[in-house]
Amino acid sequence: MSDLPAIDVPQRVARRFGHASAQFLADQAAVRVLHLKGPAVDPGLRPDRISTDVDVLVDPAGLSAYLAALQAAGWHRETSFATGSPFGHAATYRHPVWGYLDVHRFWPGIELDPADAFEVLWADRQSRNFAALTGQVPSRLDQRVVLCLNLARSWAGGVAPDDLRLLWSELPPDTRRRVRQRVAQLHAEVGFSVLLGELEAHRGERTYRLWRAVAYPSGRIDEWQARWYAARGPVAKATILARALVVNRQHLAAVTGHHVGLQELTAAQWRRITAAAAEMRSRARRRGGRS
Amino acid sequence: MSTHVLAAGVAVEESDGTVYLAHLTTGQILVAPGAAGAIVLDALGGPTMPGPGAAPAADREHILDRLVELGYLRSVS
Repeated sequence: MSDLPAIDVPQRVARRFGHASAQFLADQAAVRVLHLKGPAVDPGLRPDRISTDVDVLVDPAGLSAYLAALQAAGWHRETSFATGSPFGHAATYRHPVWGYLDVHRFWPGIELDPADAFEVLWADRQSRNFAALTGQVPSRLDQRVVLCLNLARSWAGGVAPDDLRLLWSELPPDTRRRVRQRVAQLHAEVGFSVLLGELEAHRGERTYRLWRAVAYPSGRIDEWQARWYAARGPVAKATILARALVVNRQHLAAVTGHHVGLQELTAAQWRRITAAAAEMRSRARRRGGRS
Repeated sequence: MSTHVLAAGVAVEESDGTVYLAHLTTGQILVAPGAAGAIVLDALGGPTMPGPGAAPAADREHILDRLVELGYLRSVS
């Protein structure tokens, strides 16, 4: 057997197995999950594209049980909810065979309470087979909302014209109306407004700065300020402040791909402080130049 | 691409006959290239199919092991 040539599993097959594995664990842990993106997307909603990871939105009530099931099944956490993105919405897990899995505790842009939002999406769910295992995916309308918000989050990096065309700009008026109604029901207007070029209409809302920082990035300090504004309550705000100043060793290890020793951690910490100082000096100069 | 629930896991069958089998409990992917795919599907057919698929779980695992030993199924590293 060892003399036989190695066989690679095609990505399209591997992703289906990834979704099947995620569903298998959800079934074992009796946790509701909705599969998102990749093979979970309805045909025609966006151009066919091979996704490199698996995304699931987990019922917040079952999140702890699901994470425990993942760990027991040999999945390793690569990034935590806190360090994964400015929204703090997802943790990334990796399995040596099934690949990467993004576990979402809410979808960025949906500001309805996560448990309520999950119920809204779950109520209209549809079934989908992943390598013959049945999982649940959002309705076509909800998939459109989810993918539109994903586009908004990717705005700074450039959005594929086909994506925007298929998801929003070429929709018939009635479909657009239904999408906007659903966006309102999910309290997702601020994120969605990025797609419409209407973000400034939401100036003053809690998450406005965060979306501006994500869609039109202007520096790390602005991003951390935006995260601070978007955080709910003093504990969350204090946590953001602490994370802004202190380099997270686990996150650094995930980014560099190796164990981070004390020397490397200290160097990274120093770089963060000097970069922040440089950015603050630059901002002060810009302000001085304007006055 | 077609999919199957097999006694030992779930499988995807490609148009050239190749079968990729995901053993979800052990976290393994096995492949039966080309014509071996049909043999594996027959041998590990789901519980609604006649033959080994209806066998007790332990026997099915034994059949899986034998398919690997005989070279019909290969582990993907």
